[in-house]
Amino acid sequence: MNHKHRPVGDGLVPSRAGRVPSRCRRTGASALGDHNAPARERGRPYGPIMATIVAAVLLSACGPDEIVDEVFEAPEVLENRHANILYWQAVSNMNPYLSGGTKEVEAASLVIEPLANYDDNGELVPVLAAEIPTPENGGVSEDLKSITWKLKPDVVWADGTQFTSRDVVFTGEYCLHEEMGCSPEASFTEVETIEALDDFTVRIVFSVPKPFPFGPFVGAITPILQHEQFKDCLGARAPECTAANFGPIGTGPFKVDEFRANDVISFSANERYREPGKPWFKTVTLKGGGDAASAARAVLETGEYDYAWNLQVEPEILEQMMAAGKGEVVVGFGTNVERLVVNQTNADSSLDPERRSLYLDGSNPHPFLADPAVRRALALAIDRDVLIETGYGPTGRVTCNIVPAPIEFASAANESCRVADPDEANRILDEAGWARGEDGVRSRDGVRLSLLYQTSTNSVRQGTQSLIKQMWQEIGVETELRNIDGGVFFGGEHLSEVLRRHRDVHEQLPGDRSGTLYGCLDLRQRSGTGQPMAWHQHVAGLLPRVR
Amino acid sequence: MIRYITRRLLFAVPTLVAISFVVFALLDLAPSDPTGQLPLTIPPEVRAQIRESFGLDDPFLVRYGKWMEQFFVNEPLNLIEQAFGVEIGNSSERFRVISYATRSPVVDIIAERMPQTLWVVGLSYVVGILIALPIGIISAYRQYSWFDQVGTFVSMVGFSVPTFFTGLLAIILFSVMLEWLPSIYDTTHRVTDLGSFWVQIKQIIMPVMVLAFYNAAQLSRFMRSSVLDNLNLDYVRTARAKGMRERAVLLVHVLRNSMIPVVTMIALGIPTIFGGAIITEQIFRVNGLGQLLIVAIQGADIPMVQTLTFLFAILIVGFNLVADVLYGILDPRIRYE
Repeated sequence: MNHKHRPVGDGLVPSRAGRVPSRCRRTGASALGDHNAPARERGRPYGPIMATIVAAVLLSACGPDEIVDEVFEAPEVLENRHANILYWQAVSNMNPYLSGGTKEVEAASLVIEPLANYDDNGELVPVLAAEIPTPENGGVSEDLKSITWKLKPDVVWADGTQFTSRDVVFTGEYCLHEEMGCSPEASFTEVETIEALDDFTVRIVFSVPKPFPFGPFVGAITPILQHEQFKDCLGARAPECTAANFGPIGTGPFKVDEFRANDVISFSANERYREPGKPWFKTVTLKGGGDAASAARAVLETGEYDYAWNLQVEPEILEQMMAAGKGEVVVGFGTNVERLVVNQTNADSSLDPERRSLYLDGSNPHPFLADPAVRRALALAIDRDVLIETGYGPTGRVTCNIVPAPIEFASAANESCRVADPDEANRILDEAGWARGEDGVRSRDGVRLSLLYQTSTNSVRQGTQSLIKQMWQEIGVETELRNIDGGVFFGGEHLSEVLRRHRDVHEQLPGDRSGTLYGCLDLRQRSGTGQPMAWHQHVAGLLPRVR
Repeated sequence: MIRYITRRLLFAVPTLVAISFVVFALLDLAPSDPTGQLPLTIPPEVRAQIRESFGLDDPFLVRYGKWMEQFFVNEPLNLIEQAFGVEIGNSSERFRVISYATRSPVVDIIAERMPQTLWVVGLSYVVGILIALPIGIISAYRQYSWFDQVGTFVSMVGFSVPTFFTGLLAIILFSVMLEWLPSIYDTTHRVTDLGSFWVQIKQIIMPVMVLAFYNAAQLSRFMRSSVLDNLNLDYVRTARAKGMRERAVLLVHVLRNSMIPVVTMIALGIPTIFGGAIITEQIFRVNGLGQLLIVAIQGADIPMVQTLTFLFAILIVGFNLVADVLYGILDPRIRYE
């Protein structure tokens, strides 16, 4: 995909920002327990754009390179063992099956757990499962059509009852119920049956061979719900079980004491948590609301909170706040890549909607963006270092690859975007016959290089937009800018409509798979939501198209 | 009077029905998608299914009818049940207005948010009135004195500087630099003894004062001009000629007459208390109704927005009536027939 993507980055849209990758045990955020921070990766150069997921702010000194995994010394400042966490997007629900937003999934991951999760390197680690099923240990059948999970036998729910395979089977039923509208349903694709072989063994049978059978119950988006608590909440009744959805009983390190929707959650330690000595914190408060800058202030300047998340704030503001010396910004580079997506189909608004922005087997190409020379020139003209410097500071870095993490799967194949070269871009366009007109805009055969570039409303993204506009102006490309509210921009229903309305360049398009280009988008997002490996099977089908 | 009120109340019914239709239709037509906040990993088919589970596939009029039933029949019944602990009919089968974002009944969340908003915004309104009335009266009585000049200047500043600026200024001054007050409102804080009451005062004082400053600025100008109008009238001269003390002239005769428009203004402003102060609540993280509304709008939580907007509409219509009635009580010359 390389040159088609010219990611330009800007921070992320808050709600789908990556997971908090920083795991600074000193201060705590991840002393919370075992919920897995997503793939993160350090020290690797990144490709075309800047990748930043999250800037996490922690209270005490603990740089990104300092990860203490096993033992950590209790900081003396935190004698009361209470963690104050501030998410400037408030959590609206504790049931990831109903509401799969990052904030909900992360809050719920303190309480309910999946069978297995991913560690920082994208490796599977057992959580409620005794071991990771593989073909070698017999957990994955030879025809790859079934996977058998062995559960840890000694796990109890926070209410003291035994965790068994019945809960796992029930969770599958819960999500797959036809009236449900289950948000992580994509994790359950091609699942035929989920059955309990005995109290501590669950077999999942797929209708097709699955080279990667770790969809259901792996990762924080598909945790196990307690059968007893949710048994009357199937299908259309699911949203009505407010008490259960706000306070699920879990096996995780914490339990919900009080849940106030879109406001604050109080957790206390689950004394039945299976790992002795954990969790270290006795209580946790997760407050939501406000905006990113004031969240940063509450940690860095006033010290009221210990940890704030997803700080898409201009670097100079963060730096100023850090000068107060109360906290520091920790960046965990994950899989989020800010990118531009180029519409290669004809988006002319005069076309009838049956044709506009549709691929139509290649018979409907964009008048100029289908020309590789133009795309190459557009990519070359962007100085990504400038975009990072102005919009991200230490929270972003340049990457030319769409899969920048985890290290095992990251590609380092593309490095060509690192250095901007407007002269070369101009040369390429000259060579391709795009000549500058009187107004400085290039055209060929009456087609002007004039495009519409839209992004979601966000000061960093809009800043990026106007910088790119200037950069493209230098190579004779005219750009019209537009920004659309995130709720609309990322809204599924209106996406296809948006696509059809004469948009040439989109930043961060959601996973619409209709066009060639869009298919690859959700790869990254998959990893972004804590499933760094789930793209395997998708990649297989996509590679030929993406290339 | 009773007849007047009854007539007004009856007239309010079609008004509110019309408002409910407009609110519902406008929000329904708005191009936002409740699944837009979900991660991009969720494929379009699943999104479609989620939208279906929200009931978005029904035709417009069916959804409007359902919402009307939920709002006007089911929710009031539910409130009665909760208040008196009785069960009317099959209450577990009754559909309530459910928020898309939290998947819980909208009315319950509103009830949960109400106290914060009433405390912070309500208190700021009261404080604002208490500051504005004396300032307005004195400014008018001593027109063009230094007090009036300073008062005019301060209220112009309060009037023209938006709360997101004064709020931020207050946070930087009192939370960041002086470290006296918390910048974030703790909604879970409970007042149990003197110590916790002090904590409550500390966390409430900034948002209350920021809002009160803004409210007071408006009201004091209004009060001032109203008193000025009255001071030049004949009855004031008569009262003075009769040898009444200035105190009595001002506080009994002038004040009562000049309060008439001000009371109307105050009554009409009360619905905005319930509406919360969206910006101030957001700045201080007082998660009240204003914050609820803004989050609901951002997340395309249409049932929440519809219900809140409509509740505000009811309050506005209601307090309009209250203002009219108060008018009659304060001014005996006005008779409703």
